[in-house]
Amino acid sequence: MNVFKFEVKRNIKSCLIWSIVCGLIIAFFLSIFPSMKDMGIQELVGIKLDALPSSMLKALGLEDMIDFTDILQYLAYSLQYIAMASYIYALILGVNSILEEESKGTIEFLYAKNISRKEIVSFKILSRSSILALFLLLLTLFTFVISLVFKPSNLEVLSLAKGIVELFVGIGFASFVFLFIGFFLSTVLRPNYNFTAISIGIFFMTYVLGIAGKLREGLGILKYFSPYDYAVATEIVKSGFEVKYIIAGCTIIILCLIASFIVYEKKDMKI
Amino acid sequence: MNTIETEKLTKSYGKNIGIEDVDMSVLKGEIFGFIGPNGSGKSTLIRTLLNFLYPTSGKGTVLDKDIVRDSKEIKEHVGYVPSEIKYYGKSTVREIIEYAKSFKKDSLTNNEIDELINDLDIDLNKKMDELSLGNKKKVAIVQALINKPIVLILDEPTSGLDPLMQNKLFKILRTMKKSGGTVFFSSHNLTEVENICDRVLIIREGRVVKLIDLKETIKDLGRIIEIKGSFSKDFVEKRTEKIISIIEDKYKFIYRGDIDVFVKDLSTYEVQELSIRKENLEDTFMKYYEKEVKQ
Repeated sequence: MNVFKFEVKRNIKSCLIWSIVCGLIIAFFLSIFPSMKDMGIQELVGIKLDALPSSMLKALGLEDMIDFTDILQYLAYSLQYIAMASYIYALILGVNSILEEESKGTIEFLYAKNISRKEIVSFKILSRSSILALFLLLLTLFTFVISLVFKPSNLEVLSLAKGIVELFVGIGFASFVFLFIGFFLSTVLRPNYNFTAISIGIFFMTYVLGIAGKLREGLGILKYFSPYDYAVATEIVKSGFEVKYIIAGCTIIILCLIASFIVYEKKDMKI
Repeated sequence: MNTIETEKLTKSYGKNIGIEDVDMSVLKGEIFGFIGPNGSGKSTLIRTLLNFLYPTSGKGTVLDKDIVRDSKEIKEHVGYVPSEIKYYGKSTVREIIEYAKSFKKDSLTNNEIDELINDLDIDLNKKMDELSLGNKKKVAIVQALINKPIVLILDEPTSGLDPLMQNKLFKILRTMKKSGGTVFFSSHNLTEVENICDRVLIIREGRVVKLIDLKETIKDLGRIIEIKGSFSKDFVEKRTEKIISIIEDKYKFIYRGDIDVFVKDLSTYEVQELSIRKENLEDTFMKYYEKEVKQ
């Protein structure tokens, strides 16, 4: 567990920074929630959205009208942006896990110790997963606490908590899919790439595939290539999770996990 | 008993050869040097022995364990100092040392570690990124020794170390040898190899050129003579197995015979320039380097 502890310690700072920045964005969104009701924003947004073509509404995930006066629906809409940040962070965590050590040459330290490649992969997965879980947990708690300030008096605390947990379980699930995709890439890519650019590129590539899948009937299968669409917050809050996407996400996680172990076991050190 | 043994060990990267058909055996309790010019395959051999790289063909053992299959067990008993130290830059020296210690239960005691740190004059509170090349090397030496290795593998360990620290390192290596440990290190500093090693393997372009037993070689050393005079080339050729160079009628050659006889023979000629010195191991090493180039 020494590698796990060392890895967590090394990555905790960036995790806290990501948590604080995302937390502040959530706080900003929630701070304008009361004005949604008071200023008749719902009607205004409704009129504006009605003017948009249905394909664009689909692409933006707004085909079903969101009730901006319902705190959970409003949160679900706001959290779409946090979800994107979370997926990119998960990809960065995954892609960086081994590639960063190879590009900086620190992997030589580990290779010289009495630890197998399998153990290196295991501890890396465990530590990065823990960091991601901590990030999601902090955001969930933070969202819940801030929501208490702005929640309507008629909404029970338990219902609010349940709704927020559901939203973050969805974001968490898709985040872990991205983490494992990133992890697999970390075992196959060469260390001379820009990891952050790769992570952002992969996220938006899959995101665009998902949009294409939504816009064209015949291209619906493309949504399976977009983990973003496995747990869209605005859909979760209305109709819950879709089993087919849970199966797709779990399949990707398992395949990436197995492939990472196989590839890394036979990999030469590259520094 | 052999501590390290390889048989036709080869590592290639596509069409490029890192090492080829390396046969070698390192005895228990010896300091074994491993020299060659830059890019000759020294680091590749070490990295293959430690399974950082998978061999393309051939095999090797360390402590009678297979370098691929039993790599983890091998590393329980092996300390390694890399040529370039790239440890976690944001971590302090203390954290690196504690991390290295955490890989094995039976490691040096805190007092022993403190003694080593004081001896090498290491600042525990500095971050790795803040250290000079020499100080990074010292941290690498401590972390390699921390788990009480019985085999120490070092890749150009003295680069960056000042002469005082080099001597301290050699003292550590000699102490390890005395206690039955084995030291295997690569270098292109011929003098340091000459001073500390029992045997030396010369490698060039990934292939073994020559294994030299230093004790035996020292016995056979002759004299390097540089001379310019009225004698013919035939005079020189009769007295040497090898003319090293001829520049503007000035001959440089190795003479292994009786020096008194040589001086008497020479007295019948007119001599313009004369220099005689004892052959050293550097000359021997260079001889193999040069031979290989000419081939």
